[in-house]
Amino acid sequence: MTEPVLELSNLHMSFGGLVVTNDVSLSLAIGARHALIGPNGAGKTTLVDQITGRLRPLRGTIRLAGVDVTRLPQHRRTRLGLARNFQVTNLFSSFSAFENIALAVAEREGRGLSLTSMRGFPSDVADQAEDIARRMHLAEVGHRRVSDLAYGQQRLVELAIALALRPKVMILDEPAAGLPAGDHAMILDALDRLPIHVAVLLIEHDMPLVFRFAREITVLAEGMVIARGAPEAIRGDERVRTAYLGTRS
Amino acid sequence: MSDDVSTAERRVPFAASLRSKHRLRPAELLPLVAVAIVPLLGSGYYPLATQIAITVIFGLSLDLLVGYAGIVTLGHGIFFGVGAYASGIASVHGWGDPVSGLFIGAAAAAVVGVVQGFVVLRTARFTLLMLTLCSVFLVSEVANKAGWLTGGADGLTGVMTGPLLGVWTFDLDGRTGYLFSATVFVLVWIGLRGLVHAPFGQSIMAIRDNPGRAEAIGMAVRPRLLIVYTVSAAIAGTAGALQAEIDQFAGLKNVGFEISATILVMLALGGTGRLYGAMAGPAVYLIAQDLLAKINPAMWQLWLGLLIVATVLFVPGGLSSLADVFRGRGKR
Repeated sequence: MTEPVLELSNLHMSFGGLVVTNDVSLSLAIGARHALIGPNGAGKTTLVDQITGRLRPLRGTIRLAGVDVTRLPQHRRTRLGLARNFQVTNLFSSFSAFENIALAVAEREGRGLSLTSMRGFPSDVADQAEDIARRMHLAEVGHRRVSDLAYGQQRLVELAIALALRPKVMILDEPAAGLPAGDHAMILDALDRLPIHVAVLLIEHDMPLVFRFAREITVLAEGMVIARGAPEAIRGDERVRTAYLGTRS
Repeated sequence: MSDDVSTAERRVPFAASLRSKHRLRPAELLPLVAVAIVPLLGSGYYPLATQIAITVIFGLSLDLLVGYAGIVTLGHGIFFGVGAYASGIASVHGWGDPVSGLFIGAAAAAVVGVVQGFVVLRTARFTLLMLTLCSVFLVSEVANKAGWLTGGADGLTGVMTGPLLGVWTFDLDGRTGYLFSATVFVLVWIGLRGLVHAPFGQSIMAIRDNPGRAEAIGMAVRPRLLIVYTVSAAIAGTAGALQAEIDQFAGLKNVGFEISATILVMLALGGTGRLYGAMAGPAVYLIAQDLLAKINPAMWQLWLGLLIVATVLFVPGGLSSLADVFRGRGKR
């Protein structure tokens, strides 16, 4: 086995007396397609926030490509290869789709402080951004302001920005959130075309999407990992069913 | 109709559309025309035009913060004042060279900017606004009490501005002062235009749009804001130093809350986030003030206030946003 590219060990987090992450461990290998599911309030988003650096766990460690990032700020983790999208679309609203992607490309190349070009972005950055947009089927609307795009297209811009960072690990927090079921195919199609070596952690409520995409699933309930395994095993797991449907007592 | 637009869009590569978005438009040269016209008007207009040039430099520095970085501050007068005092104090101690005096003012303001920015940029919005307000009161009180350095409430007397580049003296009709101020304005404008159209400027606007997202694509948001804050402070310090050199005086009026608030009003009048608002605002404000004070010396502030209220009501984007209206109409 190669070393995992993302490794959470014994993470603990609580708000006051409320334990939201209870001894969670998780590891993703290169090219993983891992889904994190769980009922509302299971602590999924809190866990994502700890991985990306918005929250700091009380105990436990997070290693990214072998580096302990537990105490690193968010932007340093991004530079080490961690990209995320946001559950609620979260873009640079006064820029076009192309420019949103170009901003990410420029940062990844460490050219965010550059004063060398006076055309917004150097032409090689622009070409890369356009190329990524084309791969995400955004080339035709790339010139529009992201705030003028359809919601589904905005979700694709989110993914394109994450791709532009050339991550080792991608955290996708409900990439299909807020989309009608008919548009899920578009997102799935985009997910299928993610580079194969990228490890993906998908947090999602939509079960058909999860079972189509994931090769391994972790189930979280009340801050704890209650099951982990291949999709078929999870589908038949009694504890998972209980967690989702509640216990009769 | 919309189909036509999308096919047209499809044919334009991104790099080409960036070129056209960031190209120099003919209208952007209007400030240069204005600068060139002033000497033709006769020497009576030099003092007003000089004051406009200085205020525009100050306004540009504020637009970089308010319009591009999204940092609204009520304390930008600090940097103007520190620049004015620094070059004034240097002059009192025998260093009256006007060009290096600007660098002294800029450097002093940049140092204060780094320190103050490091503290206030840890906050955002309303808290930040209050902290900048506190800072401006703090600094003006220091300027008031440290009489041995600043001359206190009487101001700094004995400022002597030497000849420009050792050749041109600052004469009474104000020609040298005007040409010097106008030159500095043009240089600052060229520099800032380059900055905001560069990847650095784009990233600053990205932070203004969405700091959380900016962090998530790998930007060190706070350090980057501190860089912009310091650049802005240095430019404001340059404007202040210029003011002290032209007036051969620096006093409490250069540093307080009033000048901080006035420049923000001027910027709102002109419009933020496009550099040209920072030129139109101070120019219109100061020209209107000049005219109104001649027509009605007792009540000019009332008329100026009404002008500003009318602008906010009918042109909420500021005077420079009228350019979009004209451009939109031209296309139709």
